Amino acid sequence: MVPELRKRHRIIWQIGSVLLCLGFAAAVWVLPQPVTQTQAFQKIDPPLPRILDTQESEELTINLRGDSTIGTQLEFIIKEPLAQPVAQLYWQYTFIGVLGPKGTQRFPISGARLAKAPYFLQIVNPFEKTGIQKFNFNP
Amino acid sequence: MSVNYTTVQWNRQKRRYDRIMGGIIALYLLTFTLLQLAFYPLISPETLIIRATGTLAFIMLQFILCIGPMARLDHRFLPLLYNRRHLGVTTFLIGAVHGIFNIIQFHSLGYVDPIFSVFASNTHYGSLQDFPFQVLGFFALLILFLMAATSHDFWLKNLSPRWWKSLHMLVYLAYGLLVFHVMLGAIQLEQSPMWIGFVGFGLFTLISLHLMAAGVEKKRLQEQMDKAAVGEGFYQVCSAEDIPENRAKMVYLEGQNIAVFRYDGKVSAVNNICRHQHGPIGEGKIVDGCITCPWHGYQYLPQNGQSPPPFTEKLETYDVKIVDGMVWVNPTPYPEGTERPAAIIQA
Repeated sequence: MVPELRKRHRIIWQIGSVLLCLGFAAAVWVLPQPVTQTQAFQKIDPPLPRILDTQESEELTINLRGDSTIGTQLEFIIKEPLAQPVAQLYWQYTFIGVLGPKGTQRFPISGARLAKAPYFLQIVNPFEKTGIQKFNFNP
Repeated sequence: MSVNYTTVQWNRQKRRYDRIMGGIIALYLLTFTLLQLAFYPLISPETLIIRATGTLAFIMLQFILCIGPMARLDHRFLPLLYNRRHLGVTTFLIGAVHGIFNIIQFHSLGYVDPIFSVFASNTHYGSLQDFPFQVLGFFALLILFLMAATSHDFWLKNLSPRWWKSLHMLVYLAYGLLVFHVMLGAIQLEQSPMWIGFVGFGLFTLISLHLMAAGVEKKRLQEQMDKAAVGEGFYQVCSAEDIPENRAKMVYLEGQNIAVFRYDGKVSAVNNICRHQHGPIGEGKIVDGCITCPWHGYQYLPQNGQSPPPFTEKLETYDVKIVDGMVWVNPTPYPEGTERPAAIIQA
């Protein structure tokens, strides 16, 4: 190889090595990070010992559980997913949470919402602003 | 070496070289296919072809670029250099299969021209993470096509060695484009540490080999300049015993790149640059009385630098003398093909 050509090779590789290494490092730097799944809902509360009332539908079993010392909770056992993408829960016209796609969920009910039976639970589709299901509890 | 147009000047070595190359390629494709089927049983034939040819072409280009510095660092690698052009053309063909299948699979089902789609389907040119990496592969393939299309000696003669070599040095640009094509494409999708490791290792090896070879050459030339003793226009370059029989000592004196050959009890000096592709004559050896370039076998007579008839290539020659067993060279060149008396080594 001609010395002039050899010098050109040397210069190309000296500059090229810096550029290639920087580019390689940059490409590794921008690698997408693994997606971390956030929990869809909080850890489920343990069930309270006594069932005060139960309501059933095709998709749900809903237990009103209570204990005079600890408090009251609403337990949803989801037998089949609802057809609606999102289902909001309203107890006595107050929002208490969102129903998930499967499994069991429990929501605490504050004492103020248990002052006078019967109690009214509505499951609402927030996008269409329509009620999906309604239940009455009379323990 | 040719006086007339010849498609490919086949010889036994070239056929052997190509057979080994073909065998290794077939073995790689078979192994890769079996591994892909084992790990991805539902893989489609198109995807399998795209992956197999893409990885193979990248590995082959990496290997081709390693051959030059390996041969300069250790002459035992010189046989790999001999038919590097066939390796390069094969790499282009395999890369072209990869490119064509990609365009068919990802760009041929839309409303726009498939080639236009390569450039327009992803326009995140300002983003590193979402950069349209296929464009990089497209330009790399274009460079490899230019190189493959002009690889024949016909083009070497018509473009001149200087322009031909400059054109073919674009391979370094093609390699850089392909590194980013892989890093911003497949690696961003796969994110596998193993693949990042493979690309990084290859890059590190290639850079190291080229920088090492450049450093060694520079040091060698400097040492020669430092050692050379001067007298009456002659430089003392080495002892006659330092040159193995039928081999050469390469020296760089006053801007002249000279190969000093020892043969049949004599010493002659010719220019070290082959007229074919500027290969290093001095790394070759004397075969059948002719200096034979290690790159592609071009031949010259040591006493006058002329190629044996009917060939017409010629090298510059230099005066040589031996005093007390030491070889002295005058770096003033004689016109190409000028006969100069060889210096006789005293027993």
